[in-house]
Parts: sequence; structure tokens; C-alpha cells
Amino acid sequence: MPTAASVAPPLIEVANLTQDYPGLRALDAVSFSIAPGTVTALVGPNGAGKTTLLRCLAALDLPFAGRIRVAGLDATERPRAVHRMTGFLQDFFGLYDSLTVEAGLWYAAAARGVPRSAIPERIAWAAAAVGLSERLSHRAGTLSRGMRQRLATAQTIIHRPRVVLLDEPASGLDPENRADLAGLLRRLRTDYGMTLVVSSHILSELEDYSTHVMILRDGRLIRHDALGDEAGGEPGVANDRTGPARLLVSLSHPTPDAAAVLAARDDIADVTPLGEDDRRVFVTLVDGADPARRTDLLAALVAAGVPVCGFDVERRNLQDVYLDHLREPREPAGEAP
Amino acid sequence: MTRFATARLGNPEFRRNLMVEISPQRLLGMPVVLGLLFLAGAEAGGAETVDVIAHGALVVLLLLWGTRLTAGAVADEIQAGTWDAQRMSGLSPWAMTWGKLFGVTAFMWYGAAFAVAAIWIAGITGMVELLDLLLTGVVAQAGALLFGLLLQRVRRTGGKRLGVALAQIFAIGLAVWLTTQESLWEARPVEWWSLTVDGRDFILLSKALALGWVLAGIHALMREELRYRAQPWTWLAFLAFCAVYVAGFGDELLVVSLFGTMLAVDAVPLVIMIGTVAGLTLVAALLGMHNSVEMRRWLAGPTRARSRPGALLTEAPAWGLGLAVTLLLGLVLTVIWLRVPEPSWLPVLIWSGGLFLLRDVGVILALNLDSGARRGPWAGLIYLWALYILVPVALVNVSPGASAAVMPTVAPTVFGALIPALGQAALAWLLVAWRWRVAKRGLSTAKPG
Repeated sequence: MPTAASVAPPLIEVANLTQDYPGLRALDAVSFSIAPGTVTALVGPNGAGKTTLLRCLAALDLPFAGRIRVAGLDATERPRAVHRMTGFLQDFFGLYDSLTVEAGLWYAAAARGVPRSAIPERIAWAAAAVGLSERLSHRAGTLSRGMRQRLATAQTIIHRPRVVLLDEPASGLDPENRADLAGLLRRLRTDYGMTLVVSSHILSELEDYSTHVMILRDGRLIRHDALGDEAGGEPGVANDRTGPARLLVSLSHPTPDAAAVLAARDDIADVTPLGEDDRRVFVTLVDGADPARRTDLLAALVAAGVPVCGFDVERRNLQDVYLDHLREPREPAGEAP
Repeated sequence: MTRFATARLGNPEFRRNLMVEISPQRLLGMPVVLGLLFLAGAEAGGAETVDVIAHGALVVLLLLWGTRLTAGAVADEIQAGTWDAQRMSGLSPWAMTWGKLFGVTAFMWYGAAFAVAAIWIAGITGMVELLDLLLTGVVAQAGALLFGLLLQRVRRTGGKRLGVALAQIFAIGLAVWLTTQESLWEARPVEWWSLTVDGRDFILLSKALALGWVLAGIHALMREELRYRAQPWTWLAFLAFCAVYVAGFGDELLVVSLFGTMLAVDAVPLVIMIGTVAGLTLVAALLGMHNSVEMRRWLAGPTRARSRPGALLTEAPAWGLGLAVTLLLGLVLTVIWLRVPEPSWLPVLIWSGGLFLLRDVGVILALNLDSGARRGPWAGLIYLWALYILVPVALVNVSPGASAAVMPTVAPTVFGALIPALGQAALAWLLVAWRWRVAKRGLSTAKPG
């Protein structure tokens, strides 16, 4: 599987990572690299191996085969060193309910090796980062679900790890808390240069703050690319103004021969009428990623008398891409000798 | 965290436990309740009653309540979802060990301090006896932590309550056993490796050593949990210690008369050592590695994919090391026996015993391979109980010497014991091979790395 091209040397390198549980191959020869300062959305259906991958990256579980390097450290050979530079928030995280927010953060900082003199500053920083500064004296057990998630996140980042791994961090949060979490993750990347890998099923939000997407299915990596941020490109397609684009042409009134007009052009690769009212047509424009080509097409259609009232590049979000990949036929798994 | 920083901060795990366990209400409530109990005792029966009540308070606080807390020290963290964060912390295995052992029981020791004060004021119990009681409490609490940790490893995905309850039962049983030994030995001197030692001193020293080994065991398990590199030395040293310790009782155990014939003097300790190591190997097989994935990774140590031949030793399961030590001791005993070849059946006993051990480990492995939380050690325990208790009883009526074909007995013969043991061991490991193939089914080929 090709990996994301990047200029910066990778912070995380994974080669042929294979993880077995009794009778089950959870990860199958997964290879990729992640550049520093990126946010990678880790997506895939239940049981795809997302949590297993995160646990291996956190050096919590010893992989069966393959290599993981975090900042040049082999996670198999030096797991404790990897622990020091990593923060991992698992799906079913726990808190010490009888401790106050401040005490919980103190313990996380002290246990993570933050120097004593720096602990008060770190507590203030982490609490502010997650919006808990006003609740330092509250007991964890009295906090709402969203506040507990914030506290757990603060405990995860209090030692300012280079790599932050989050397993379903938005699970169970209301829209407001999810938005706050998205903002926090963006800040961790932009303000503190942290590298994040976030698994989630809420793809629309991942798209908001992720720079890359990684799709796992049946323990295999089926896609890992940078996310496109301009119209015309699906996530992962480089925005270099070359290549085709899918366009939706809307007509002000039914025009049965519009499809024929479009199909007659050399720069149109594909024409697909949408619906039965002859008012919308999907076309694939050769080199349509180039805005000038789209301008040419629009001008030609207007000149030909086609009643164009809408002309837009098809916008495909992360969920569309994800579902497309899941619909692809599965490769058969190899058998044991 | 640097050691310097840790020292200045104190142990974060200990301090966290103090924050969880200690509150003003509790600090006030404990002395009030105990004080009322002692006052009532003093009114009712004077100093003797206070002494009895204070002893009872120590038993409740240190043995019943304290062992529950230490047995669940790790299980409760796993259940609460905080254990992985602790595993990724910068705490050392030793900091984690004593931070949990004395942290979760801090409130119990706070109460115990009042009970100790009451005993001292009552003036009936001597200081040595009191220290002995407190030492028993620490051993039991540490034993509960060790056994709880062991059971959580066996039953990682299973229910936690049963593991905690079993660990507590084990710890209380250990305390009761130690106390029983005390009453047996304190009245007379102990013969140990031809040394005559005062019984009370010996049991006190033994308890201190037991505490040391339990702490060493917890430390070794914590090392693995915190993902330090695997090392076999603690287990090997424990096997050596137990073998030497138990063999020291050769005279007391009357091994010579048990065999019904005279053994060469050099052979007696070795026979006991082999029996001790074999017993510990069976315990390790019941509680140890049953995961086919871990075993495949271990066996792949010398392959080109892993290029770590030393992993065959350092990552070996405890039962594997136990089998190796048993084999080594058997070889030494055979060499010694060749110098004075009496009794003639001794090598048959030793090697058939070794093969029975190999069979038992094989059956336990076949029963438990990848069974996870479904079976735990129960299937193996039932098997051992049936083989060593039920079958010999059933065979007594068939033929008096028939039990030699299923377990080590006195005066065995090659055809009556050695060959049956060989056949059973081969069958058991064929069963393991079949289970191994089943475990690998559905997995594509990948070289462990």
C-alpha cells in the first residue's frame, strides 16, 4: 500500500506490522509512515484493527511481527522510551472519581515524569487547554461525560508528548463537546506541534481537523493519503490542477438533448443523466481539476444554448471515500501452511 | 522520571493511593470506632479483653480487609480503565510495587497502629509476637497482590471478582499456614541442613524470606506489565531457593524411611529438590503462558526474522524453565547415583517422574492453549486431582502396583513406570501439537519480529 508522501522525515514508521490474537489476525502486514505535525484520521469498520494498531503504536502490546519506530525508537526494543513520548487515550478510559481535577492532573504529571517545579504550570496549561480551569477543585466523579473526556484528554497530554493517540475520543459526546474537542485537537497540532492519530466513526468531524486519512479493513491498510482541501479532489488526491473532475450540471428546465451536447465534446469522458427529469447531468471533464478548463466548458455550454443554472464540482467528503473503499471487493486472506 | 525527581516527589502511586484512601472523616472515624471497642473491652474484662479485641482488629484490618484491597490493586485498575495509563507512566516496577502494596492499605495500617498501641498498653503480648503478627499481615497482603496479579494475567478478559476473591483466599490461606507452622515449630528446635535453629527464630526468618520472595515476584510481574525486557532470573533464583530451602528438611521429612530403603546421603537432598522444582513447575504451568501467539513469538527467537537466540531463555515460560531445571537436577542425581548405585530403582523413579511431569505440563497446555478466560487454571487442576487422587484409588483394586504407571511411586520398574510414562508424555504432546495446529488455523504466514 502506498504511503503518504511527505518532505519531513516521518515521526512514526511502521513496516509489515502483524498482530495476532489466538485464532485471529488483527493486523496483517500493515506498513505506513506518519510525518510530524499531522493529524491522521484512522477509520474502518468495527473489528478492522484500529484499536489494535493504536495499542501497538503506544507500545502497550508487543506486535507479533514487523517493526514500529517512533521518533527513531524501536517500539519493540525500547517500549519504555516510546511510552515517554506518547500519550494514549483509550476508548474506555478511566478516571479516579474521588480525586479532584487538580489531583488527577497532579498524579498524571508526576507519574509521567514531569519535574516537580513544572507540575503547577503543567496543570494550569492542561486544564486551560481543555477548558477545565474553573473546575480544578471539582471531583472527577461529579463531572459530566464531556467534562470527563476533557479531563482524560488533559491527563493524556500533560507531559506534552510528541505523539498523541486517541481511540474514539468523540464517542458519547454531544455536538458542542465534539466541536470543542475538534478545536482542541487542532490546537494540539498547530500550537504545540503534536502528531495525532485519531480513530473515530464520526467522519464528518475527522474531516474538519485531519490532514491525512488511513482506512483499515480486516486488519489491512487499504488507504493512507493526505486529505485534499479543495473542490474537485477527493480526499487523498493531490491538488495539482491536473486530472479529471466530476461536475454536476443543473438545467433550469428539462433539456433532453443536453446529454448529447455534452457527450459530443472531446474533453468530456463520461456523461451520466441524473434522475428522469432531464434537468441534472453528471459529467467527467478531462483535466477538470484545472479551473480554466471548467470555465471553458461552462462558456461552451452557454454558447450552445444549454440552459445552465448550476455548475459545480462534485464534492465528495471523507465518508463518501470511506464507503467507496468499503464497497470494494475484499481480498481473500492467506492461509496458514 | 529521573530517580532524583522521584525521590524528591515521593512515589506518585503511593501518594495517589493516600489521596484516594485517606479523608478527614476516615481519619477521625477509625480511632473513634476502635477506641470505643477498646474502652468497652476494658470495662468488660480488663487488659486481657483489650488484648483480644486488638488482636481481632489486626486480623480484620490487615488480613481480611487489607488482603481484599491488595488482591484488587491491579484488577480494580483494569476494571476502571486506568491500568494502561499506569503501564505507560514513568513509574518503575519497584515504585509501582510498594506504591500499591502500602498505598492501598494505608488506611488499614493507620487503624492497625491504634490496635498495636492498645496491645502494647495492655502489656500481655510480647513485642516479638506482635512483630510476628504484623509481618504475617504484610506477607499476606503482598501475597494477595502477587496472586491477584498472576490471576489477572491468566484471566485478562474474564471477570475480575473471582480473581480477586481467589487471591484473597490464597493470601488468607498463606497467613493461616504460616501461623500453623509457627505453632508447630516454636515449641522445639528445627533441624535444617544439619543445623539446629530455634523454632521461633526460624519461622520469623522464614516469614521475612517469604516476604522478600513475594515482593520479588510482584516486581518481576510489574516489569513485564510495564514492558521492561523479559528476564528469567527471578524465577530461576526462586526455584533454586525453594529447592535448597525444602531440601534442608531432609532429616525432618524422613525421606529415607519414606522410600523404605536407604538412600545415598548425597541423593536425599537432590530427590527433594527435584520434587520441589517439579511441584513449582506444575503450579507455573497452571498459572503461566497458554497463549499460542506468545509461544510462537518465543519459539521464533533463534529464527532469522527475530535474530534473538537469547530469547529462548529470557522469554521462556516459567514452566519451560522449570522443566529444564528438573532435567538438569535429574542428570546430576543420575551421575551421583552411578557412584553408589543404590537403590537400583532410583533412576527409574527420577526419569519416570520427569516424564510424568512432562505429561502433566503437556495436558495442562493442551487443555488451556488459547482458552483465555474460559477455563483459566480450573481444567488443569481438575485433571491433576483426577490423575493423582482418583486414578490411584481406582487402580488399587486392579493391581497394587498399577498406580506406578500413572504417577511416581516407590520402587518403580522400567516396564511398570518408565515406559508407560514415556507413552503418556508422547500422547500428551501429540495432543498439544494438534491444539497448536488448530490455534494456527486461519492465520496467514508471518514471521515474528
